Amino acid sequence: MTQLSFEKELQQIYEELLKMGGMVEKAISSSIVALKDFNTRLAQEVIQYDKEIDIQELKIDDLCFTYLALRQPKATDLRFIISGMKIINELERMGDYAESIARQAIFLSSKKRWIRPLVNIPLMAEKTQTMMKDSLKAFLEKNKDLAFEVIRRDEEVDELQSTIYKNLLNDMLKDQKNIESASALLLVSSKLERIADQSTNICEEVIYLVTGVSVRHQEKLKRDSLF
Amino acid sequence: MVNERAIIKNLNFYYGETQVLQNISLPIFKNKVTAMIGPSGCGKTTLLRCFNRMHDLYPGNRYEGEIILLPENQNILHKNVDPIELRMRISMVFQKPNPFPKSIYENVAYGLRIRGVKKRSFLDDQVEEALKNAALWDEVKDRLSDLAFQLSGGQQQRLCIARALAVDPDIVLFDEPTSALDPIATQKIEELIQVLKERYTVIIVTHNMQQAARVSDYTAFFYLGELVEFETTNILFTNPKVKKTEDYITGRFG
Repeated sequence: MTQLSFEKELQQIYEELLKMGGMVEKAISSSIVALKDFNTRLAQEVIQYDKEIDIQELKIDDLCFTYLALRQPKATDLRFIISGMKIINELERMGDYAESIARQAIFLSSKKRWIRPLVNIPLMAEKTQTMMKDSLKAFLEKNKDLAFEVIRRDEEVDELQSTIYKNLLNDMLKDQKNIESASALLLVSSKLERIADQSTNICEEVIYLVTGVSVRHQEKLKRDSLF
Repeated sequence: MVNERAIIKNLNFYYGETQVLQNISLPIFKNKVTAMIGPSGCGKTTLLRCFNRMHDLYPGNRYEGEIILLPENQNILHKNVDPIELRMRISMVFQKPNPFPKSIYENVAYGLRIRGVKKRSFLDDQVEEALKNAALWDEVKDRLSDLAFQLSGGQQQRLCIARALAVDPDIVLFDEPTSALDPIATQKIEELIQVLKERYTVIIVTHNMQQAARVSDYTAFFYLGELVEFETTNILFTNPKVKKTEDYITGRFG
């Protein structure tokens, strides 16, 4: 059967959303590479790239708004548009965090050395990026089980974040000269932690899209995947 | 607190040999608006017409099952129930405005005259109240003796609503009441339905899903003579449980 005109419009919104997801994914991974390799040129690129992500957000926002006004969607279509509008919000913020990590990367590259071997932050970045990718995958596949799983993974990132915090605090107490670098790294880890949180927000939207039930602010529902 | 005003129980309906309603069971809640939606031929209008025994007017039609009015606990499909009397308790507004070729006043007074009311002052009061309830009084109070046909389409439809209300019914049936009206007249009727439900129980058949979403508290979706899904309107239009309902309301049918 040929695609109906409204289905084509929905498909377009869907594809633009995935494109934006890919853009943000790229920004985050580049910002981490820039950090690890002291690559200021790549960091600058990430900062520039954020404008394109913002433009993409506005484009999808406009498509969703027009669709709501002209098509008056129902049921799954309505939930898709509503959750799509929330997801682009989350993605845009993640893009901002990538930009912020890139700025710290530029600062840290001026120091040319690490105060301690960079282990936990790359590990945290990897977990966070996987959560982000899987949240988009869950959206792509309308896979609520994967969405629940990603939400549960957030705890691991939180634990890493507190380990990193303790280590960096120690470094700062040990030697005042560490303060500048350590606080930059603290900022990086807190942005990563936010990206993980935002991935769980996307997953909550996926669960809403698939089931019609909102699990936001309901820790028990999320933990137990009670439906 | 929602109370049932009527219950449809295992209702089958036949036009001659053809069965057009298949074992329908459905509650109708008091002082609520229940919308019936579904594609042409799904049986929604047939079901609506069972409520005031319109089908009795044609030979060969047959009901099985019950429609029980509550709290009276009376099966209105029972052959002992007088259809003329029933149509005063359960009145109907049709798709196209169909005023009688009489004055505005006589259109509204018609049901009461049939009932044997003769006292002029009582008739005057009832006509005025019905026209007020139908949100038409202010537009026609100075021209009650004009022919009903001189009114606009939207006014004629509100006149038909006044005519339906004048007999003080329990349930008001609307069969696509705005399909022949422009958006402004449609909005007036929809607003009116919201007011009417405070006094009456309303059932509306509509092809316009947006209208069902706007005016009703409960929605029943029918397909090929069967009830597919019955839910609060809010849930049915945001998160229906049955795929067929989802396909229909999102326009992916067939």
